[in-house]
Amino acid sequence: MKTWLKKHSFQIHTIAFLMMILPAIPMFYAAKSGNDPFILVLIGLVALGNILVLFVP
Amino acid sequence: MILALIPIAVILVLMIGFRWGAARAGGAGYLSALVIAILFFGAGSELLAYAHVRALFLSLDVLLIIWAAFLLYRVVDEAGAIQTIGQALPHLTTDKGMQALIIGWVFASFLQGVGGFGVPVAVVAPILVGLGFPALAAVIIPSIGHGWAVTFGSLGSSFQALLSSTGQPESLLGPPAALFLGISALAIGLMVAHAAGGWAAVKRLLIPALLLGLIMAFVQYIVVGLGFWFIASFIGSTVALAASFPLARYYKGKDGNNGKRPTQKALLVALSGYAILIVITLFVQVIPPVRDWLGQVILRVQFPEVSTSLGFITAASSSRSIPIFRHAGASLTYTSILAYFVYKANGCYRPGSVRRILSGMIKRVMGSSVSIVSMIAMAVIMENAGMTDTLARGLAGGVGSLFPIVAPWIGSIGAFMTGSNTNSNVVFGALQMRTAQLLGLSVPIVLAAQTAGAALASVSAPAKVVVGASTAGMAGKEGDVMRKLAAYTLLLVLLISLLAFLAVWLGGRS
Repeated sequence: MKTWLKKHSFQIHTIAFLMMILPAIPMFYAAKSGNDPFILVLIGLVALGNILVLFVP
Repeated sequence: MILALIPIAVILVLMIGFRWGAARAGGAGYLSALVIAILFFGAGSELLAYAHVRALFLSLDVLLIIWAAFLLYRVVDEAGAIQTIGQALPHLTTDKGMQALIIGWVFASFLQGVGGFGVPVAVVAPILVGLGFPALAAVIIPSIGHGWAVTFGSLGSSFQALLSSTGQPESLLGPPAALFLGISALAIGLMVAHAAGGWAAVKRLLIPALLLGLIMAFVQYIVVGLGFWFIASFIGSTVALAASFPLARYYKGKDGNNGKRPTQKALLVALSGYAILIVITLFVQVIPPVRDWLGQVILRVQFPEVSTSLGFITAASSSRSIPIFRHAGASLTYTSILAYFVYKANGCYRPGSVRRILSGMIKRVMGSSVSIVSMIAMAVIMENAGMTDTLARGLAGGVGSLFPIVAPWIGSIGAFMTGSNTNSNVVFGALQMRTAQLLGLSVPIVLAAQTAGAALASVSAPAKVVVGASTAGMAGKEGDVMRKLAAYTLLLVLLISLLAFLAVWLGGRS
């Protein structure tokens, strides 16, 4: 598993990177309209992106 | 205060204690900041949403430069230009001390100015080994040699990070940072001579070391003052490189074998990429019609006032303006494209070069991009949730008027642990600024101390030492390199401490 993660670190970092930056765009509009549940889902996505990189040795 | 400190402590402990990479540790730092901000500092969903959008803008501002800078480096390196320049320099002189100054200091600074990312040591150390330097000295010399050029090097990405994380104007932050780093450049010249040949070399090479140091420091300061901070250390070291040609005549040394000498045409072609950089930068930033035309598209967002349930308020503000086609990153991209065609016209590339350049660039920058986004998001959440303010109040109360002495050490610890001046500025920039404001100290001086301390200590970071040691055949002996580097680094950060204290004492209060 560790070897597989290390071998695919570039792909995992790319996915994590996109999960960290893309949700910020809808988050801006969700905050403007006060859509709290949607904001929490988007923050969850960003957090998930950060959790993902924790597994890359 | 302890809770507010946890995210920073998590990053430092994971990187130094558990040897995690910056991307992994940054993720852990972000997650801890998010949880602590929600549970203990009363950060609500609206505050967190705007904090993430702010972080996106700040990240974009920094990443545009990092991506484009590495693209330019790949375009130049794939053409063999770095190798050609590296082959030409040893023919200037066979004097070991002068070789250390010109190649290990000035050329390493030049490489930091345009590339960074560990390139100066990775390129220069093998050249010095080939010239007969002991492996340890071959790593030490370029490592300390390029430290002064880190903040305004890598085409200004570390300085951009400081601007973005603090929101301070470049006209205020640039000059003191250039002054502190310029003075350290003078000391570094003498240290390089010392590393090459002990005190005898320092005595013998005092004049060229001071001359080259003065040129780099003065030119960098002027270029920063003119607003071209992203090419300041590149221009400073380029002028010094040009000055080292006549200077080397007085320190020729004995005849020796310095390897293959490239033709004059090959050298001119190799240097053309950097000449294009200067022309494009002046064209984009100086000529008013071009500047105005390219500056028409600006990314900017207005943020409303937000507050935590504990009552900490972040005032309404607009994000940093990003003039997408006039950004320093855009100038670098134009340069990369033009340089590619010049090198291609001169037959410098093998088939498949575009694919190699782009894949090399993307693979190299992705890991650092992840760490930068995580750490910036962490820093913004901490700032908007009032965690940075809590830390700053604790620091201000604990250290008081001695803070200018402490500020560069905070920056240097951040850079040593994270291996990056940029990361240190992102993590500690806002904290240093807030502490200076609470103590009524000059924010530009304190932030100059932060980035100068970080730049000088970043060269001793384990992550950089490992790369440098491996290129000089010192793999497994990183401890020896770090021990030797530590002495020079500590002296340099101490110098910045004294300069910061002196600057505040001379009237640097807000």
